[in-house]
Amino acid sequence: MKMDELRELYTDTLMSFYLAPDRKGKIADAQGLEGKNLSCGDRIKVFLQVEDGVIKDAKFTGYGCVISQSSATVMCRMLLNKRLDEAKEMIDRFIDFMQGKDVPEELLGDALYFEGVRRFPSRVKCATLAWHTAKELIQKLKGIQSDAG
Amino acid sequence: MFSPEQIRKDFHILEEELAYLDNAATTQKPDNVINAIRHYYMKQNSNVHRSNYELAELATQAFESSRRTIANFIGSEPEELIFTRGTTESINLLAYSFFVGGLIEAGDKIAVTIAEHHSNFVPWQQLSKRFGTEMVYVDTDDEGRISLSEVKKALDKGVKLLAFTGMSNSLGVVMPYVEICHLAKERGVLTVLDGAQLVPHHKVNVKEVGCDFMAFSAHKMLGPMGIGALYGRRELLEKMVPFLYGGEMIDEVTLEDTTFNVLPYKFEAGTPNVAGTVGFGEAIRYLARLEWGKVQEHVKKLADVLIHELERIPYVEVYGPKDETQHSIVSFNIKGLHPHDVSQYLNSWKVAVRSGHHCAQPQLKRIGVPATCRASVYFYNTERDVERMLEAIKNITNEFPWVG
Repeated sequence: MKMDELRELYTDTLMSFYLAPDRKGKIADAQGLEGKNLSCGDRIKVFLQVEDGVIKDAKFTGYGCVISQSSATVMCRMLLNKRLDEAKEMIDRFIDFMQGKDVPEELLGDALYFEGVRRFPSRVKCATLAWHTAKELIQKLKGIQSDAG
Repeated sequence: MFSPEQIRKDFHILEEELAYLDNAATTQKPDNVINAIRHYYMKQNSNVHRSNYELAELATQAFESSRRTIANFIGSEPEELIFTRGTTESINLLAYSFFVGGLIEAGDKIAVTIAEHHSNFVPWQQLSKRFGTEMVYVDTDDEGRISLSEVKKALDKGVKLLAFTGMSNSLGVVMPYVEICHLAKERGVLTVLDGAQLVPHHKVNVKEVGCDFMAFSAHKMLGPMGIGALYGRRELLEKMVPFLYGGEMIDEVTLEDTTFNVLPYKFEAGTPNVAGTVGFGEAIRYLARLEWGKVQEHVKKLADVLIHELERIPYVEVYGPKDETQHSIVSFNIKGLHPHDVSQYLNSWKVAVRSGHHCAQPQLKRIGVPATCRASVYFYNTERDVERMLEAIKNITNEFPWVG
């Protein structure tokens, strides 16, 4: 059996994030965007409430595996109170990290808990689904902001 | 005498300690298929139907002998068997040729069932979106069965063509394909039978079944990937326009116009995948030597054990009819866990199953789930494979304690 390998992927921390999805739900009146994982058909919708260029609330809805759901929870927690440009940087850093690039660990925060996923290329997509979706949404929101400004 | 243990010796990859239960996605390849492809490249490789040196004759012979073997296996004439890249290309060939050649026109109704693999769904749907044909959907019941009354209801809407699967890839339901073809024929409706899952498990004689077309793939029945076939009734193929244009498929080319080659070459433009056809032919020879009654019985028994044992586990939900119409494929979910997590967990037990929507989103939507785990059995699987998977599922709460 390759149980050790499995436990590298499904760590207790990831499971605890999965079991306590405190960022799950819609935000009324906030902008939302849906992202899909084409290989499995999973969908996730990310909502960001932004005031003066700062993310005041971040939540997600959708159905997915332990990896994608726990990653969405961690992401939404980390996005709180970030400026949009900071948020984008943080997301880029996580995606780079998941794609195997060198990223200073101290900059990753709780996202570092997904390190084990990197060894499972087919699951990297699960871990980054919410992040790609949020990135796209931030781009949209920045566009709206600059239009208004 | 049919013995899975004996048969496994023909499959090198099965020497690994792995319960390979993803046969609906692709099957493993026996030594004779691998050797035939190797032999072709070592001793026979050259372009077919071109030159008259000895090597070219050998390649052409190997190519045409495979065609005869495969045609014979499904009861068609060799001229009615067109080599394609697989089921997907076969169906796209039909959709294109029907429309471009005027056999199907804007306003015509095309019926498909909601049990289809996307490859027998999207080509027809896109035809309707872009060129104004009309889709008629044949519903399944909650277990994925198609009833003849639903088929009749659809056909009586005046459809010109019915495209349907002989065995659904998501739930493993063997459809009443003979009766369906009969109903269609009575009403003058053209039939396209998707045989991708059916042909590996059931001997299909196209003349007895009475379908107008049938598409199937080599790799789901011991052959190599990237090669498959389209059977078509001769008089229809003769009326149809080619799908791809180029070399091989022409009769004569002048600056003014081109006349086309005879069947089946009219539909085989370009240099074919000769090694693929050689492997395909060899796979069929292997299958033809088996006792099919025993093979079917064995596969059915293993799938039934899976169905019934999984059903006894309180946190497992099994989909499909679970009766004599379900063959080889067992779709299921673990309550509280995504199928991706389940298949990843099974991998740690060295059990290979697929998870996802299985390219059959309309069917999964109909039964109310976004994705499933799918175990699919072939004749080289054993009780051991099935037991290992069941043992793993029974222990899943050790890793995911909230399940159940």
